[in-house]
Amino acid sequence: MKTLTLSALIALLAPLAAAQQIGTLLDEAAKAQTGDHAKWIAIRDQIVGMGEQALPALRDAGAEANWTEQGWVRAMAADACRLRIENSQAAATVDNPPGLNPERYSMFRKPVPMCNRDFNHLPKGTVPLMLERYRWTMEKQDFSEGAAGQAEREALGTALLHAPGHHGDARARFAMEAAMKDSTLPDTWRQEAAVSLGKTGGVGAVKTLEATVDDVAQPIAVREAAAWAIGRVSDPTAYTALDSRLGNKELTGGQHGDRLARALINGVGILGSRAAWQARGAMSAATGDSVRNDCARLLVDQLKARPADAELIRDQLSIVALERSLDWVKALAIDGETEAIRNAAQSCVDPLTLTLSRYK
Amino acid sequence: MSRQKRTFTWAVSVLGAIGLVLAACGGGGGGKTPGGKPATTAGGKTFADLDVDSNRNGALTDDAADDDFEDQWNQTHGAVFYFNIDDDNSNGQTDHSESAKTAKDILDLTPVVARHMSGLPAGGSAKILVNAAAQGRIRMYMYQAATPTQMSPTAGEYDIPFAMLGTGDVIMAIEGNTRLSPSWNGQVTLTFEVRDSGGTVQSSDVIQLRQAPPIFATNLWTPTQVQVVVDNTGGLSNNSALIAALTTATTAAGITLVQVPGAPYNYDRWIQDSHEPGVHLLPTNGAPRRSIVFNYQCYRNRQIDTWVVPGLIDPDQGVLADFGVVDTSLSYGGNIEVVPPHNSRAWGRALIGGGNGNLVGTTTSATDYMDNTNRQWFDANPIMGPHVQATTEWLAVGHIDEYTMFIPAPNTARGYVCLIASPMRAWNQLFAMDAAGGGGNVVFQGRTSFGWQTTVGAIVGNGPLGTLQQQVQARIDQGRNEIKAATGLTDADFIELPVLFEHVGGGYLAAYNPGVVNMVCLPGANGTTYLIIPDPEGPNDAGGDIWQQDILAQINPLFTAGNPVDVAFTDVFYSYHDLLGEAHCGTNTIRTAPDDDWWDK
Repeated sequence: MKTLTLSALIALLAPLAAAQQIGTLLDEAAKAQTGDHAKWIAIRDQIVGMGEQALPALRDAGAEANWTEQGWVRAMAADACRLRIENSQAAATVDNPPGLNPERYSMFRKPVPMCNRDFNHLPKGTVPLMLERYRWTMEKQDFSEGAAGQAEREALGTALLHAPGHHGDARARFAMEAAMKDSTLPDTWRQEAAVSLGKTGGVGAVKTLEATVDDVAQPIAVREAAAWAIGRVSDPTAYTALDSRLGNKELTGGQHGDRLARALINGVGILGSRAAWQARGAMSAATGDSVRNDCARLLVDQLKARPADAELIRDQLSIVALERSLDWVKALAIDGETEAIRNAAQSCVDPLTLTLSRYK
Repeated sequence: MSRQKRTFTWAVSVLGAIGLVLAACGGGGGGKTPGGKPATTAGGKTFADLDVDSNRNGALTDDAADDDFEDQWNQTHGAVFYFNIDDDNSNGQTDHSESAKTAKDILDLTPVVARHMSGLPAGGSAKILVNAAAQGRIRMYMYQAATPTQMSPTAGEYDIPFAMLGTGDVIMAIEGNTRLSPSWNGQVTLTFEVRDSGGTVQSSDVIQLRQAPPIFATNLWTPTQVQVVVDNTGGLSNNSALIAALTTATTAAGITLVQVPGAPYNYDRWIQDSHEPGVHLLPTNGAPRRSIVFNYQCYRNRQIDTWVVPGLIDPDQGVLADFGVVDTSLSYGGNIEVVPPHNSRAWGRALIGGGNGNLVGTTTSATDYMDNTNRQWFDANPIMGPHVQATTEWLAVGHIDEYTMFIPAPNTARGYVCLIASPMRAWNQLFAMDAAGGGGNVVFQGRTSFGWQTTVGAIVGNGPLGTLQQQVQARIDQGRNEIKAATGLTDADFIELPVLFEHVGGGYLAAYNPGVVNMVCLPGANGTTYLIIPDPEGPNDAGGDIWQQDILAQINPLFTAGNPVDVAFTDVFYSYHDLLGEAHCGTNTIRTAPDDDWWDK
């Protein structure tokens, strides 16, 4: 009876002890520097080695509420371990993306490493594995020698930063923000991170993206990507951010002004995307109608302000695909103040007509 | 004035033909009637007379038929010669690189005859001058009995021995040894001069020739041979389904199916990319015109290219090689298609992909073009050029066959249509299915390797993926407008088929579902067109795969009872699609040119 009581007590206390141990290990993981795969893997192995009994504690630690600016690294560590126990196949894919294997990519029609598909085709829930890979184990990859290895590294890095945005996983917000701000990274990587931040960060990301667009100290490529990314935030605040900047002569008239203006116009088209608002469902329909109307109006105004960018604006109008915008461009093609404006508007009529015919 | 017609026909035995010419010369007579040229004396002509088959009927005659307007190139006159790239003696060398000619190769030479002259000036000379642009780009031969011996020019002038000219016709021949280029459109002017001892020209004659331009096949031409690389490894990438579909279609249509073993070429299955076949058409004495296959070898440097050379160099088949140095996949064969005949372009026009747009969804430049050497070569071609270019720089592979394909459409006024990928068509169909409660329907059923299998709801619930489809649609619409502007095609000539796109790396894109426009099009001699279409693997409704149904609903009405279509949706999922290509990318087709002349258009 005495022994039985002790066994029961041990059984009762075991999960608590495991949770305590996991908590300590996760605290240590949160302190592991970016790229410190040795430290992280040592911690990970201990946690994953506990098997299914670790899952309750990992679920608690990886709960959505814990993915805060301060807590996301710890939450990510927890979720990555959980996923490694629950879905070892996904973990294996993230650890060894097939598109990075020279034997496989040499069979591609274009024989270069490409692994976006490997990550994008995984379930959305596996994003923490990609964040883990990016933060700690990317450099552990056994890249090929020379130029091939450089291409593999570039493919892996950009794919890992692209996939969280593809999945629209809000847990990736702060990881993407950190990558976008990391000046040690190539601009192309920071661009991917910026776009993913827009896709994952929600309204909370707008201010950060605005600041990046406005920051003259940032590379122009990163500022451009931040402008596109604002368009990924499905909220009227994104419209305000883009509209105010397109109207800011200091910004669009200064150094790189044309590039920024074009990037902002691109962001307006993305924000007004008909398919994207459809995908957000009926609950967002009213907001979507309003935002799309504003975006189309702003794009037509840009035809007046920047007729030389008619091709870009034309494409964005086709993405917004608002029926009444066709009337607006037709009117502008007749009433435009200058010939350049009238021609710019006219060049949009046929493409927009074709686009709208696809929705009938 | 009597006129003795003397004929040189190279469609028959060359040795016999040469004898015929020599015999005819011995008979004397014959002269140039129009143009005020003097008559011929019994011992030979008193004027310089250089003859060629200028009326392109396959017979060289010493009469007005070939003499009149022989100094011009137009729709009715001007001789044709061949860029001698085949290998009639099967020794692995292109024939223009060999001066020793076999009897069969002699058929590829275009005869040129300097007629027997009398009264040649003592101490004088006879020369054939080549226009500056053609110098070094042709070879001339002179027959000693029945054997052609290469002539060596000095500063663009060939010597014609007086001794020969004074005793009979001097029979020569010409071949091309250089492809067309921006500095040479294939035109050759040969000026035959007889000079006195002081070098003063006493008499001269001029003929015009043009090197036959390479003509790429359109998908409307009847195939004779389909090539495919076999992957029978048994793994995911094995392509037995495509081979089975090709076997069925080619057997029914009487087409040869060449199955290239994959193992020696490391299963490099992209045989479409290694080369692009076409023909050189030459005049003959009666129909059909002589057709010599060429294979334009692309700058690619991958395994299956080594099958093309030497595999596709043999009698009456050659390879045009060594194009460009820029390592871009836009220079591969999948990026060369032909818009079938339109407007005044009776043979169609080369269509390639490339451009200086942006990566889709960005304002980042993504400029990429086919190597300029290739583009310049298309533009130098009076039949296929100048090329039409449509935007593809945003695609990972960057080929025009990723979103367009021309097929016969006998039930239309034009006789063909351009099938064009439409991501929004595919998206809207999925959206409608989702809205009707079919969000749980499976897309890419059973394709669990590499995580492909998904659902309708998962696709249309992904907003950024939806935006991407719209952005790609805008880009494809731009490409369509570029084709329309260059060719005069209208929206009615385009049929949109459902193809979604996705990011594959570095901001570049490829088809998400198997790209159905990337099909194999085989219009058989039996009147049936066989289309081997990548199975789109869409979701099912009560009628089956919604994308297959849509494709059939649009394609079937293009055909007639007399000229029906036979569609085979074929599994290329892991064998090609997963590796960034589709069915067309994995095949190549040699086709028979229409029995028509290019030179009279």
